[in-house]
Amino acid sequence: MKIKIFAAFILTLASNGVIADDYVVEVHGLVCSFCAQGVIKNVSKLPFIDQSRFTKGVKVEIEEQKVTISVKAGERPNIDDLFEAVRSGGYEPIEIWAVQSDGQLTKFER
Amino acid sequence: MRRLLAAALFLCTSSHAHQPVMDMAPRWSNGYGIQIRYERYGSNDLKRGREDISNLQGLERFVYTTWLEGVYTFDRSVRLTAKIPFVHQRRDVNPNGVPASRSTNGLGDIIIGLPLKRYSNHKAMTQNWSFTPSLRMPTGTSSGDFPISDGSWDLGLSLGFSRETPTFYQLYDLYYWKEGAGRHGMQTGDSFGLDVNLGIHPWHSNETNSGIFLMWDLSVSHSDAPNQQNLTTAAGADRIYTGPIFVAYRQNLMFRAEFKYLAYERVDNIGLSRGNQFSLSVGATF
Repeated sequence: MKIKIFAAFILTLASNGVIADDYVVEVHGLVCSFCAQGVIKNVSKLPFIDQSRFTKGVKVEIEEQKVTISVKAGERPNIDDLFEAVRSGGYEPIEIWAVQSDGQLTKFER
Repeated sequence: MRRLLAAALFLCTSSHAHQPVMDMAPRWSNGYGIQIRYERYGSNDLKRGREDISNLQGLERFVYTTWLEGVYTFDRSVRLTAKIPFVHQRRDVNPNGVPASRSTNGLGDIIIGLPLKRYSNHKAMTQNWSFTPSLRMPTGTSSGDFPISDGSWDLGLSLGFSRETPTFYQLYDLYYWKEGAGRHGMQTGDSFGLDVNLGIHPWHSNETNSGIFLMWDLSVSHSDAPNQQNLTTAAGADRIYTGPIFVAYRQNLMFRAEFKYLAYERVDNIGLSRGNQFSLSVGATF
């Protein structure tokens, strides 16, 4: 019983992104990495970004229109700030997922 | 008559509305870019209308322009661009049967543009419409036997559309230049044209933020006759240029090489052909 409760607690945390290090943002219009420099520039400045990974904490994948961000241990991304950083980079953020330890994506709610 | 304007020199230099560094970048708020572009064109082919005729006098004209270009993006819908040309032009003439070579160096006419863009982003595609008013200022010398500028304030307008997917790029740009009255009685003719760039994005690396574009350009233009001309200055003309474009980028640096083959040309009366055009540019965005 204790194990089930613990598992449920972990799942709850995961669905809110608390324990994830990486998050994936779907970004419409993201088709050229040269043009996406503004996204990297803006997002990497956010205080919860772990700049030690990827390119200053941000990885752009134009085939999938995805931006993966690395978040500092124990911190949650501020979705409003994150989406505004993407918008001022010239693109449209759509949704965000937390990357679980097994690689599965869980939709991350604000 | 010795102040005949070198009409083609500025009729065609950067008539196009191509924007510094790249059409799609910098598209981020408070982004900026700089670019140095070297451009060369000219010929010793003499034409009457569409026909090549003998150039017994050995006339020729070549123009080498180094453009210093800059762009500032307020937000993705409003940019400000500046294009500053440094011109070296050379021509061989034969006044009164005496061959002579003349050249001029110096600052050309600075062009300020205000691209207004309307972007729309879709899942795997981004596109924008752009409307760009431009002002060409008479900063080039209009004196001497071989002036760089006609000394006029000119107004340009362009309407563009571009669309990009991860693998395909297309740009269409329709432009018009209204020429003002210049100094010393000189005035170039108005011009308009259409540029089309179609290309692919065959390789890129997400890890290093690098890649290449391979494109093909088609440029169709018409220019009215200037109010003065001789064999070494430009007549009014219709032209079609076409040729390949190669673009490579890495991080915030971009390199572009472009060759434009003069596929069709019709000049008013008799005039030197403008010849093929070649350009190289290096740019950076921040």
